[in-house]
Amino acid sequence: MKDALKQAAEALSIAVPDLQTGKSFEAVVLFKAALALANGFEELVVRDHRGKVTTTFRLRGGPGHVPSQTAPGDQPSYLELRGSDARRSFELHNSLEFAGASGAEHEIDVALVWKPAIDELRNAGGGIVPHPPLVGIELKEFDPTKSLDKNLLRAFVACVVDLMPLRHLASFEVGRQFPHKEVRIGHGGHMFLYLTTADITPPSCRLCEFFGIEPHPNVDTTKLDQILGELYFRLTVWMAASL
Amino acid sequence: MAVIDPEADVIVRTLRETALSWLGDVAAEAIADLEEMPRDTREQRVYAAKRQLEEVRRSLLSVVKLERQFTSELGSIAPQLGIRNVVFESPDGELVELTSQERTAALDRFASVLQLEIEGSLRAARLREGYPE
Repeated sequence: MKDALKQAAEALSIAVPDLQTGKSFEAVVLFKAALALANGFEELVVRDHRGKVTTTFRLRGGPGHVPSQTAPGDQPSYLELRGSDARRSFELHNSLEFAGASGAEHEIDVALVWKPAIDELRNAGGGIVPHPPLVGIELKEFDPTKSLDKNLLRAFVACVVDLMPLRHLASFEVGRQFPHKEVRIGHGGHMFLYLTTADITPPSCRLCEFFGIEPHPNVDTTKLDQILGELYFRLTVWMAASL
Repeated sequence: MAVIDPEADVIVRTLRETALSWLGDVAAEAIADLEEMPRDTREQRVYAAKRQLEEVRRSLLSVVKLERQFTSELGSIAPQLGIRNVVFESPDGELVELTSQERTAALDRFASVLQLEIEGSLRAARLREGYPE
């Protein structure tokens, strides 16, 4: 029976309790992130999987890989943030899958990735992204009057640890030796955010923060400017220092 | 967003039917074994069923409200990116192409039907157990 409800929800791409879809939430955050980050780049271009400029954005419906430019049919679109040269160019995707150190595949709802690496993957026939995203945003569209199940946050923590295990090798020892409030596991320029329309309890927030994930409970998509503005600032600082 | 989907009503109908099927199961589960229970216990179960149904309704409607807001936002953000159509791909590769207005209308109809049908389910559950309407 739940399969039937899931099928119906997917038909309209809406989120229902216990069934994680919420593609319109993904689309809103993806597009707003593109607009917020665009100021730091020469141009913002919407492209289809063949690399052609398009006015129809095809939103990936489930976890997926980067398609080859020659893949048949219609494949998901993406947004290109074109910098002054290829090294300074990035892409924004939704529901893209990344390979963890364990070999497990991890879907990131909204991901900012380095364009040269993705182009290389495309030219090699496409596939799962073998490295972590520069920015990974997890989204959960749930009842705003309730707190998010801690297991959902644990799952994302595990995902981030698997994507960047070296960053976390010492985390448990660090947690024991230092006051928890002082400790943040950094990701060397990589940023992970957890945005949800539901509430997040303080212990769950602390869990995220310890592992370098920014929790954002009770997100109002009409007021994302501050979150995305901070993301823009950190990205431009990182680019200035690293590229 | 300007793509018209002539099957929009089919989507709404599917949502309605499956949601009702789900709610029916919730109700059935909640009032199961009622006949074998003493009347005071039965009353508690009907009350529990009502609470469950109302919780389901509230959660679904809150999500519908969010979806309505996101749909409206998409309609205004997409043009700023030069996007005329947003096509939602379902996990099995099928497409849902609705204008933001159509999507909003579909969500509203869904919410309305949901509200009516839950009230109907509650009334039926109470009548079935011999309580006054």
